[in-house]
Amino acid sequence: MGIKVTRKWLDSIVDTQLSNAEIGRVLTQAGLELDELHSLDPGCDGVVVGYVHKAIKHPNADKLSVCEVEVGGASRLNIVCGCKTVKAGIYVAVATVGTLLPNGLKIKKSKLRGEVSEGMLCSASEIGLNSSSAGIMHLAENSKLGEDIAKHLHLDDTLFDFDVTPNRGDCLSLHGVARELVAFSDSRLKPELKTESYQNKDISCAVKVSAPEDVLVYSCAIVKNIDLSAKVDNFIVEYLDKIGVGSVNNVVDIANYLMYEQGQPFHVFDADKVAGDIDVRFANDGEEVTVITGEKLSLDKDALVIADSEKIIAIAGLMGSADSCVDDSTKNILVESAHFSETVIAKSCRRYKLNSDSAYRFERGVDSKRTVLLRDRLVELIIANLGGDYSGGLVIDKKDSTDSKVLLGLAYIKKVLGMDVSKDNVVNCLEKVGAKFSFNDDVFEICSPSWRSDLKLPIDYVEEVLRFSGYDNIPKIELNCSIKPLSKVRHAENNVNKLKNFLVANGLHEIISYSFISEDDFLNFATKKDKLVLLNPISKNMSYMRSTLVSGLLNAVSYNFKRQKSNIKLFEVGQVFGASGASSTKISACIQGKLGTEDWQNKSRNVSFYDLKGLLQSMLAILGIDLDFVPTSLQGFHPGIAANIMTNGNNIGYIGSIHPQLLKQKDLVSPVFIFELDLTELAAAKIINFKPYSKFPVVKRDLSILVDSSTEFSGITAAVADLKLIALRKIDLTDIYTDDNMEDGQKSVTISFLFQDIDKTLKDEVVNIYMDKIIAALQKINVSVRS
Amino acid sequence: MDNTVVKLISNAKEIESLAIFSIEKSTSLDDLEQIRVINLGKSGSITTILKKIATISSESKNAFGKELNIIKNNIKAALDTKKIMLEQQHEQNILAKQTLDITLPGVNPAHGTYHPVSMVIEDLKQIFASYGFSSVTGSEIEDDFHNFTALNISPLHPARDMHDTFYFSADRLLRTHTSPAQIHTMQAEHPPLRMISLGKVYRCDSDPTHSPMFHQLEGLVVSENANFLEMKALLDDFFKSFFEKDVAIRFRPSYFPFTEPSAEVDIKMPGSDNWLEVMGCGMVHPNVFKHVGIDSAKYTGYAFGVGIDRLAMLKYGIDDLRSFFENDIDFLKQF
Repeated sequence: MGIKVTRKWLDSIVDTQLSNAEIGRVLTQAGLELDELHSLDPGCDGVVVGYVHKAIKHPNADKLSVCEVEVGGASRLNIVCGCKTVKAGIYVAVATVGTLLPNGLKIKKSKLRGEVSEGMLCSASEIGLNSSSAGIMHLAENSKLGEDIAKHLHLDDTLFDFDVTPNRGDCLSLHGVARELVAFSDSRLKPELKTESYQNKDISCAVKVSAPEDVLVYSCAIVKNIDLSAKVDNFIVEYLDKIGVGSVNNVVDIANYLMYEQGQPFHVFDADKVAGDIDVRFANDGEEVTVITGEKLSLDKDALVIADSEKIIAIAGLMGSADSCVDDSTKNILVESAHFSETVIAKSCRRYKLNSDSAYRFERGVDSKRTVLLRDRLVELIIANLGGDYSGGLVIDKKDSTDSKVLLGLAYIKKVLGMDVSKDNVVNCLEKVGAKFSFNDDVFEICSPSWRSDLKLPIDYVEEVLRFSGYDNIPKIELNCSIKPLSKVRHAENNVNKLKNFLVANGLHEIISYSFISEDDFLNFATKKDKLVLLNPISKNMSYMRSTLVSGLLNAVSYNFKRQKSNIKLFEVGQVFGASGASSTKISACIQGKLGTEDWQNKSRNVSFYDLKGLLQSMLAILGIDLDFVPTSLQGFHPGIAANIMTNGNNIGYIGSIHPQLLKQKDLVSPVFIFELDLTELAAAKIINFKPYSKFPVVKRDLSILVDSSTEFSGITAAVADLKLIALRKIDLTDIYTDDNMEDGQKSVTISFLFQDIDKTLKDEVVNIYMDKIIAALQKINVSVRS
Repeated sequence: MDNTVVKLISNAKEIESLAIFSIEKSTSLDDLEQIRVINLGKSGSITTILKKIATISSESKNAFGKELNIIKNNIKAALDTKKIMLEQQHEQNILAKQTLDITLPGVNPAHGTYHPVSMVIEDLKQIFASYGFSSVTGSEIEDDFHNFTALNISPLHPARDMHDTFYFSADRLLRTHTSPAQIHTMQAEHPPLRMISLGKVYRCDSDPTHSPMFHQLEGLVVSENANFLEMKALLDDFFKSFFEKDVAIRFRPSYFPFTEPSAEVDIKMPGSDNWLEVMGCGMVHPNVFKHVGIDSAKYTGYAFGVGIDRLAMLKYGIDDLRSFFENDIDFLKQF
């Protein structure tokens, strides 16, 4: 929300030479950001005010009339019109020959069923106004003939829409915008209208304020015998229409108009629906009220209300009750103009999820010194428009609001801004703000203006000084290089970057997916007891906080696969969340499809679990981390292809193949291999410790063995490792196969052993001894050696 | 020297000149080998003459041997030279046949890409590290105090309307900005401070041009002499560094509960007429310092915040914020 004003409306209270664009620029630079500026002119040059002298039935068409229309010139126009309401003696909008209407229709001199037509009588929508009426416009009597229709309807106007920051409630009115414009330009406010002052006079009921802490001023007045059907001044209707405020009824429209003009919210009750005495009090717990929107609310004791002897008639400053509002039969009204505390209104808005233009202003601060003056102006406007008599009113004013003083030193301004500001500049600023002040020993003692509830602390005035000096005029200084560096070494971040660099270099694309996912996606990899759910999700599909990055990666694979992408390799780094709200940072990667690029030189093969395992091992080798893999079962993963990733006995993540059923659910046809690792552990990886390495020749020996096909490779390597052969540098798997010559359930495994001594060349005889030991150890675990 | 010897030598010389002639004429390594065998082989013509040394008188033996060795070496030298030449020629012929069609497509190893938001985050960290700022990410789940109250946004403050907050419970929420991480740092460390906090933030905004999740960077400087002018100088330098262009900046008054004075920062690219609103900034509000126990009589501070996704859009010319989180490979591949 913000504030909308029009140029003509502004001109009614301010004298300014500025163009529309200049007004927008000046106020934007003052902090009242112009959101939109647009002309209200419907763009129908050539449409003018006309007077119908004669309207006779068309000789050849029942539904048409032939009219004689005067448009200010000497000659009268002959115009054929199809509207039923046309008759002699009315004022109309005439599109003259040559006019191009906003709907694209070009008016030409023509013959309609044999009668000459030199123009067209227009409906409101035909000249570009927002109207549902299809009939021709009937203009006011004695309108000026030949006058441009936009000018006639006061549409030669421009609408400004300003954003107002929450601290500037004083700008939420025409008056507030004008005051700001005057402070920042050579413009002047026109003298304010003189308002009749209505003296306190007994009213039929007693009024008391039982919550004085939150009610600074409470004033009301009763006006009797108003005529709700009377016509309201054009400017009220026009300006409300221009700023987009819908009409309710005459009384409410007048009260709304004055609120938008002056910033003071009002409420108007039907006085005959108020029973007994009025009390401004807090609600009782569970007390009910049906507000004008029709919503029935059960209030609690934090809600400030206006109540009569029987019921609540309004939630203070926010909304009236349905059974006390003005309706078509209302004769007598009770007008309220009050000042409620910002917090009490805010509480009601939040608690009951209600809002109104009135509460919007109270929350942001209303001028407490004009409450009564504006009640009087409202009464005056109502009587002027709708008749009726002032029959009584009263004011309850706390008056104990001693204005607090703010002390602002020139040295403080300099400390915060980093530049000297002269006393004269501060004086100029304070005068323009409208503050009262004195100056002693380089310190200003300031009394803030009643409409600026945001000016409470010295720092608030530093901002005012800067605003009036002009944010544009802040001098540019060289960046001070004497500041000593405070940044810390970023080992942990560098480690994460190394991993990311590795994955990118190996063909994986980094993704970022939403932290909130659907319930289904969540339950694919976790159980309900782990859930952390948003109370107010943007949609049901984005309500569960992810417990793993895997679901996002899988969805991204699926998204791309459905768009004919293949060989999808992705990774993500991000936070995941536990039921307690604890978060941890993970890195997760997945591969699918072919291994490398398929091209004219290479035939590519499908990726396997071992490709991802190897990628993971190489990636962590960069950080000097060795991994162990322990088979496990994981929700959402293939029961036979899943493992925990261990280092030094700690579980740091898992790796596996997505469960085939889940693949199907995501419309995927080939396996997706995924790992996820906890980055908190990895980022803290120690600095690599250098180990001396051998410069003597390497001896390589191959060994083919026959094993049971269920034998795990790790069992073989473990048996060899148990020998603790210092010269055995490395064990490589070179081949693994089965063929028809083998017994069922057996496989052949070829392993190569690399030997290297740290300080001498190994002799063949020594290596032979090692190999004999290895063979003996393997035979112990039922491995038969083939060669 | 007797006549027989003289004759033998002159025979040998004749053979030499014939051999050298045919070496020069030869066109293949095979020919060359044949010439070697004919002349210097076990029963070659020069070898045969040499064998006659046994029949020669002792006073002529030396001279004969010397002459014949010279001849033999000459032939050998000629053979070697020619051999190198022919070998080189042979190699060149082979290489000539190996010429590739270098216009055939290269075989590209698959390469991955960094997410554009990640790239911008790295840039930002580096630029601010060069100004001496440390960086933190912080947790994306926060409590009310760190996200709002400590930042001078009391429970009833109208500015809460500007933060459409996702809640888990009354006191647990998804952070709406990265400032809570700064509150944690100010609670844990003493000034002087110079830090950025950056990462994901969340607002339940359903507008199609907004994403409920986006990325933010906020910077904070607290010291005994942090001031508005220094902040402007820093931000001016920052935008020039980030865009690697002579970007103009403009300050406009604005309002944030946690800073006073506050400003919006607009930037203008060289050659453009449009000011783009990109950043909010201001001097840390004394109430914020009060909440974290920093003496606002001694210390002043400034803070600034910027949307990382927006910076990425401006830097790379991306027009739709939502494409950042669709993760379409055709989008990702471009970075």
